[in-house]
Amino acid sequence: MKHSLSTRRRVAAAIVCVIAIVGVFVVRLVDIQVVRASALVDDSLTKTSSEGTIYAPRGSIVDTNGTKLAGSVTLFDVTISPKDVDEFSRTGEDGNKTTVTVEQAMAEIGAVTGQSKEELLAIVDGALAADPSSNFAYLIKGVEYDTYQALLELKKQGIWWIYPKQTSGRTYPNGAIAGGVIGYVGSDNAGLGGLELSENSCLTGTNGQEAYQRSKDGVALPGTTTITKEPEPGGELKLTLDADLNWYMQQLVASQVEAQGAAWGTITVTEAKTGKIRAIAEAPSLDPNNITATASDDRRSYVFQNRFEPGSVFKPLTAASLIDAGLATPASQVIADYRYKPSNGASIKDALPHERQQLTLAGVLQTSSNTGTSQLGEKLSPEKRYNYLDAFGIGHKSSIDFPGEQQGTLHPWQEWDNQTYYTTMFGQGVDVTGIELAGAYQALANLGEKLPLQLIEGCTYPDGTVTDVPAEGKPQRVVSEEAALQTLGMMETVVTEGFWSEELEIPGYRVAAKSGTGEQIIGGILQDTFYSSMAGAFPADDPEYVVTVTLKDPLYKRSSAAAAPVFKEAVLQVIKKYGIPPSTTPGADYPGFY
Amino acid sequence: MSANLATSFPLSTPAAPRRNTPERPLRAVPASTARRARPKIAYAVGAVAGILAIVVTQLLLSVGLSHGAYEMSALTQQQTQLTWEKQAVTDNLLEVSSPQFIAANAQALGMVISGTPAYLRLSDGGIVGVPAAGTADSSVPVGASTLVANSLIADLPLVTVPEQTVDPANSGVADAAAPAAPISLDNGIPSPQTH
Repeated sequence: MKHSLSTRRRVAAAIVCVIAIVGVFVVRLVDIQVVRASALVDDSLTKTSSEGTIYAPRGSIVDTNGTKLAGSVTLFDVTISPKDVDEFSRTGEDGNKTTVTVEQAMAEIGAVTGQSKEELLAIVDGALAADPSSNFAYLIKGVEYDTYQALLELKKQGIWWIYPKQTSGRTYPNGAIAGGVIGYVGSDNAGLGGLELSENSCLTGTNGQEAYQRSKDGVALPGTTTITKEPEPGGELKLTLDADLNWYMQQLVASQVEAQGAAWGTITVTEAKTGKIRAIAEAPSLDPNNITATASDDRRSYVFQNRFEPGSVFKPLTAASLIDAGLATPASQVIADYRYKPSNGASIKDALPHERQQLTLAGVLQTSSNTGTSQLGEKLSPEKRYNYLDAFGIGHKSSIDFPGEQQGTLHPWQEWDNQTYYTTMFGQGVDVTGIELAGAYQALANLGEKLPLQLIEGCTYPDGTVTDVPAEGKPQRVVSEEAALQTLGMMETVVTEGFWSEELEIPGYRVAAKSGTGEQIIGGILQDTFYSSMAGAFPADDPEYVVTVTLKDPLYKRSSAAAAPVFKEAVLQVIKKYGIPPSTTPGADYPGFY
Repeated sequence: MSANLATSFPLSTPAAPRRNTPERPLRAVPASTARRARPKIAYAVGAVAGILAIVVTQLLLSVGLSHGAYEMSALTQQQTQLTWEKQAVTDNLLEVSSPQFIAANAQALGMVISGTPAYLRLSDGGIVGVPAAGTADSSVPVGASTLVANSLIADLPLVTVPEQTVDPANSGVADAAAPAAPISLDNGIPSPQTH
């Protein structure tokens, strides 16, 4: 019994001890894990952890086929610690130690970054002059990956006082293709012009955050990095443009601008039945990769941001209005002299002197007769004619709402003076943007129904959500289908019988087009250079595409003759690009004279 | 638990004597101190060795783990580098796929843009359009491929003519090279032809 008693006591003591110890631990545990948990965690985090930024790339801009027009790229800023810049010894491949002077080191860095050693030394000296203990200065910003690699190699070879740091930049692999439309970004990667600006909210990503435990010297401990906030990359902006087609049109218009010594030129290609713009070609064009190489005046989209008096390309709009109102047919007759002096005191004349002509409405378009247009146009009241032009979209910004987009000037009909009453029939005393002209011709080509023009397909985020899809616009009937078809038929005779038929005709295809030579008055003086344009649609019996060409101030062919061959080449390219079969129906063949 | 068991079945309580039994197979446990001491030392040694083994194993394991962590970190770093490299290479590919680069190479070979398309109609074998070989004699003389600038490829050597770069002048923007040209009289005196 004695033995058993001592055993029991020992056992009891042990149990008490164990319970006491466990109790102490439990109390401590509860204290740490529950009572002071948040305070302790906060405390520990501030002492041992750091936060870093995870960059969310700015979204790409792609064309309708997904070809990248603008994208984000990882670049590197190179910094230096000026106070540490000193000569050092380097062990060569043969095992011999050589001393590398600061000058030599700078020359090596410069060979990689493309700077001179004097330039680099000036950066170091400047930083040291400002602060003798300076440990931070930028050597160069935004170098590419291969430069970064070369710098890492230099770092391994002893130049330890340079630090490449990741940053992000913008790249435009296709250069100036649609450059004026795409626009450009500033040094902070935020949009400054074009779609980069107007679609900035789509393209901009939200940076994420990561937390990691750091060692005493601030280096992240391996395996401790946790992402506290996922980065949200920007959306991908898809355009309706086709990069290949746009390139050809740009090459074409730039070639003619060069050949004709013109100030600038544009081509647009639009799908007649959808309003989707397939090409906006401009020359000169902005290369967003190298903004400074482009004159500041040329960092724009001429199609959206320039207005001009269109001239005779306006006549089909007048003709379609007359037919739609039931006041004329393609066969309506008019006697057209070189001059026309209506009773209200206005004075209208044609571009070139000519004998009296007996023209039909078709002939008026074919010979681009101002006097004929004026006499037939009188039949429509100015109010109604204004309403037609208004419905064609003249004097209205496009639905695209391009940043800095201009708005054509169509004065209310009550403000038209006697001369303007007539000149608005043939595109003077009114100005338009290139996009307004394309929009008006889209309405004609879509057999009288105007659709909102579309440049953006939408913005797709990485999680699949799509925003910025243009609202499905209701087609607005401007003129009747019959009026549109008859107008297109009359415009065909411009191609087959008109002044530039040799330069315009494409065997096998029915093309409707109208030329324009817009006069410009600067400071009250009529200039001797013109806006040369050509606008049309094809195939004429059921148009698929609308093409407009405008050249400002061509010097050698100072009329629509400068735009005509460009129009033909542009139409040919669209035919080849989209495989449009030849027309199977005969042309409208309206007689121009009677 | 073992203490409780020990009290429930006390080993020290002698068994009841059996009478009339010539053999006694059971006898008291001899009080041999040496016999008792040996297992105690063995246990102690065993326990200590066990603890040591655990400590060593844990050390090795943690060395291994941290080694793995560093390896992971190095691999992550390598992955980042490779991602950048991939991106750089992809961008280069996009640049050389640009129409400007292809056009520059084609022009260096003397290629021209083809003319009017012509079609063979299967139903009657008729030819639609005017088939003709492409010539450089276009109604709009096609300018140099650098007219549509792309500064990213300006320095690249051509694939077709390696000794040439895309932009011989490397002016960046070719349009800047065409300023308001003085009116040339080569094509006759400029005169307005207005229609």
